[in-house]
Amino acid sequence: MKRIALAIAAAALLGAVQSPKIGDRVPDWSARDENGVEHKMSQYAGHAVVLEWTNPECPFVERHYQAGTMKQLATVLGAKDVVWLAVNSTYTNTADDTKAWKQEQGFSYATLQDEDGKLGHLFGARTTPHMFVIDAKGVLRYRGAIDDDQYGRAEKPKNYVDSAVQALLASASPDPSETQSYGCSVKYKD
Amino acid sequence: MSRPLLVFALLLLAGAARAAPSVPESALASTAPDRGNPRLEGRLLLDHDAVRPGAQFRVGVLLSMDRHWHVYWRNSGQSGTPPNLRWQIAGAEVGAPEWPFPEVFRENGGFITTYGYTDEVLLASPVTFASRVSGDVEVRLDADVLVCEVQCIPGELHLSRPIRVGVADQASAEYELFERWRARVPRPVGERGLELEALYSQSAIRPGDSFRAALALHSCAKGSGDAPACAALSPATEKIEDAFVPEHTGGVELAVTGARRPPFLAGGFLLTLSGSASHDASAGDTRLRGALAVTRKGETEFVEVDLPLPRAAAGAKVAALENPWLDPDLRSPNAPAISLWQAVLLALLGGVVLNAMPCVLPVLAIKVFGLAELAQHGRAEIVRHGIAYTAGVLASMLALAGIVVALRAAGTSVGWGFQFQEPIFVAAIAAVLVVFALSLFGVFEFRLDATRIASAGAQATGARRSFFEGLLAVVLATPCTAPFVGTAVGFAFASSTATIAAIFLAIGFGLALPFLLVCLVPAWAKLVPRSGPWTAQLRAALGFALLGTVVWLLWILGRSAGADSQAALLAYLCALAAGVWVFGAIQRTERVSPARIAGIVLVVLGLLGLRSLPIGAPAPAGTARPVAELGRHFSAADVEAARARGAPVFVYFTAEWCLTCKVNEHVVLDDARVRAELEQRGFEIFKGDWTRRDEAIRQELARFGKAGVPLYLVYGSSAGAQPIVLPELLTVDVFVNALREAAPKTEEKT
Repeated sequence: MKRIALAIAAAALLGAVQSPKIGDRVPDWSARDENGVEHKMSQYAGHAVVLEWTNPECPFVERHYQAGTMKQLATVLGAKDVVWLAVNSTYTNTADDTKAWKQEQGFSYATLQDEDGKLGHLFGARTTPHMFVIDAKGVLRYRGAIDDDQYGRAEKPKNYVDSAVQALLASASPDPSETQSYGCSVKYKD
Repeated sequence: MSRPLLVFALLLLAGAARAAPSVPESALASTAPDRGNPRLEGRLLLDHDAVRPGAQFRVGVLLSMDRHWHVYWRNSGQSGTPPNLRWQIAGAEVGAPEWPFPEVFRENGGFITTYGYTDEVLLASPVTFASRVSGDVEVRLDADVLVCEVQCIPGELHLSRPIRVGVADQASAEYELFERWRARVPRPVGERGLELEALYSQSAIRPGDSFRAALALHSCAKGSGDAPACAALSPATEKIEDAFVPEHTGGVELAVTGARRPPFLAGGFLLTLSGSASHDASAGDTRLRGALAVTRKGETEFVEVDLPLPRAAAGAKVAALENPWLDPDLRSPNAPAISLWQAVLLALLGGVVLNAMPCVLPVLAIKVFGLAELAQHGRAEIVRHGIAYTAGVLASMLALAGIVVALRAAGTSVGWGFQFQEPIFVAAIAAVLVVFALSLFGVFEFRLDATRIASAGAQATGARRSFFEGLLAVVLATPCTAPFVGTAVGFAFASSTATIAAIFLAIGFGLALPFLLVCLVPAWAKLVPRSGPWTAQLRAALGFALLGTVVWLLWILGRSAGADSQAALLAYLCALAAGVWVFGAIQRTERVSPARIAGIVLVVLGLLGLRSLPIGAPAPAGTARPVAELGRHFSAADVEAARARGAPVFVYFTAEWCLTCKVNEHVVLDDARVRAELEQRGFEIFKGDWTRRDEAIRQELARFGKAGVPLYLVYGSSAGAQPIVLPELLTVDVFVNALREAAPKTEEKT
């Protein structure tokens, strides 16, 4: 009992220290995508960056890919110099799985291979999908859900990532900057 | 073929054991197929077969999950989604679902925490038909239900069945099931006869703030303070951190960090929380919501949590509200065995630190220089003294613990240093100190056996005296509190008799430890200077130091019981000194029996004199207080009234016997700058004087987790705000800053 409590307290403490909060500079990270190409936070200085936690086996992710939510938004924002990166922290996922999924869905952005969960724990990613928006100065400006439609029933869901990035492009502050993300839990290695 | 058959049989058995009610075909469906195997089954249930218009009844959906699969609570937590129920009943009003208390699921060592239900759950909603409705009405439910094991599968349910709306109510066969689940639905605290309060580490939460909070739960009505009437409460879940499930409201995320049992909750408990607010501004104050599982007298109860959560704008000035009870305490109130050791350790540490407090220092000095005289008598003698002193300390601590237990059994709650609230005790200690000082002056020796005095010569101190000095050290130590002692004593006062004894013994052992070490470690004993003619002079000097302590005690008595009492005590002390002097003279004649008789007579007369001292009656307020006092007499109602008028309020709790309080008052509260600030900002000031026992003050102290004085509270002028609790050791700067923060002048407002 005591050990569990200690672990929780420690986790809460570490979590508080480690995951960047809104307005915090994101620490430099590096990760390889499905083709083994290295991506670093620092190399995207000057660009807004969207990180999308993904897992093709999660029905919430499937729903959004069927609806084209991610692909379309990545394309629209890509035209405005915004970098879109998917991250898969599922411990069973392989680069080949990602390549197959990418081909099936026909999207072009890289998917960072985070099967050891380092990047996921760094950002405090807990669901798929879970979205993070970082501004051109490397400061975290939005984290949370992709939209306000957790049941997939809204006719015109409000896309929080879109509105956050649009705000940044207009030199404004995203509002909301934090929402409760929904979806499957990230399947981290224990 | 045999294995699938076995599995099928087991499933059948499981189904039978669960005994889900049979419902019309249209009211039953399975969903969330996992490779063709549905993981979730839903049944539409009605608690009535027939109802009258206007009468409330319940509709519900019974969700049955496969083993290891779960659905979510209304706050799914850090992943998942709650079931989304859409009822359609023509001509009826459907209320919000009643959510039974959920389980807590932790993945990855708590990195992802979610709330939900395994096996099955009934989500019921109250329904009332409008008066014009009659005949058979179709009850329809469309639901989205996410069911997860490791993987998640979204399920969809479309269920319906009719209900008869007519002239009579008729409960259905499913009514009992509704009642069983209702027992798990949290109810408002008031309905349960419980009191729930939230404490926060700051006066208001701004966007992006990380903060600490605590939920305090007890079963006593406010202000009653009648300890035996309060039932003992415990978190009802196996893990304490699962006893409170928070909602995600106002962008505030909460997690339980621990639980503790502060004495002021009288059998209740407190859950400490860590919280973080989202970066987005909130429109005004929000609420702290969730559900709590509590065990009272072996019964588990579920209560709703719905408390104010004050909010402020980004960059706004907020006051830090330091409260020791906000810190997570990793021990479990269900298993005090773990915590006891921590408390004992604190007590031990506190005891050691007590040695350095001004109360005990003179006694310790006497002991150490007593060693100088002993040095020539070899190790065995020194060790014997060390052990005797320790025994004296432990015996008196045990006696103190006994008194605390006895008083508690009699329904009186006391605090640390409580004995100084009794004038007769103050008088007794003064008497003891005078006698002790006279012995240091050489007027008499602590021996009845005169022949041995003669032969012993330089061996003036005996083991018996060391024991007695141990007693004295404890008695003098109590008006001083040291770091750690407060926490340990606070813990002890709320615990069992055995625990109180253990904690008090630990404080005693800590108190005795430095001297014991000097006696036991030969190298340390050697550091003590050799005895010589100077030791006799030093003894006399220390005797005067003790007389100084007597002056302090006389002053306490004078303030609390008046000048007449003070004079009575002085007269008594004079008579006592004369008696001691006569005894000493007889002792020096070296005749055993007269000395023994004289000693006994002296002790008897001394005790009788003490008993008949006319000092019990408290002086009428004001007569013994010629000095201008700061503030009005404390009463919780007056403070409330002042705050209702919108005035900033400063409340301080003090006692004449509390040295720390007196130093603060002299150095800070009497400071001209402080007085000016108080006046300019329109502070209403209240003084809670705990010199004598006062139940209202004890309760107010307990509310802030204190077992004794001092306590300083600064309330701002805004209604409902928590006070700023100032540190026990005040400085002018800290105090003035707190005043400015609580009651900014118009030009200072941001």
